[in-house]
Amino acid sequence: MGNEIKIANNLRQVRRAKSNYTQQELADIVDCTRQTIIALEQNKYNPSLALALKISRVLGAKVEEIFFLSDVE
Amino acid sequence: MSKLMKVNIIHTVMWGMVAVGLGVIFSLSNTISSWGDNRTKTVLLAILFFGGFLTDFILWQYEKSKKHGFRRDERDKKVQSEAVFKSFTILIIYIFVVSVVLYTKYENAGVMPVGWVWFIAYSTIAATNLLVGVFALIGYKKQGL
Repeated sequence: MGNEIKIANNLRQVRRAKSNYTQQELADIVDCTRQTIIALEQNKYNPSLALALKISRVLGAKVEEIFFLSDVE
Repeated sequence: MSKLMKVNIIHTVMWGMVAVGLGVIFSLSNTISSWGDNRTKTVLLAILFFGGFLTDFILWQYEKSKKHGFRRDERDKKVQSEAVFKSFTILIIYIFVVSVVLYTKYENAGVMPVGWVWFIAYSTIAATNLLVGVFALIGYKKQGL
């Protein structure tokens, strides 16, 4: 059987490197809750395409810089 | 802990109490067999369910009020829809199993006490609310919130 493919991200690193936004500020800008940003940064939630695009636009990074596929054994 | 998580906990605890009360009332002797004569038990059940729905209404009003700063986003909607889907699946199985058990039990008698129909009706409502709350809590817990 093939490996399960999961979407991972390095949102926390990109957020800190490319902006001074707090989790709450980023959440307010992209119109979601702080809990969603927390879940994203802990790799416990896969965002919708719209949310991923909004986050990448706000942080000034390409989507694939923040979100990427990761194989799970 | 988020406000939505707290609302879910209150909802789940309340409907858990309703489910326990329902179980106690229906496990008392003669509740099923003489349902029509059980005015006190009927009123007690009505009070229990009124309490459950009143709690939900208060929580809904609290959530709707802008001063409390509630916000639901795509993650909340996903958690809720998964909870509803899982509860729906379990309830279908529950109703099927209870119906088959009752049919088997009363097949030879030809008649079934009407109390069982009320039990299915009440327990389905209580179980729906309880299961949705429990699965939503599990969904939020999985995300570490």
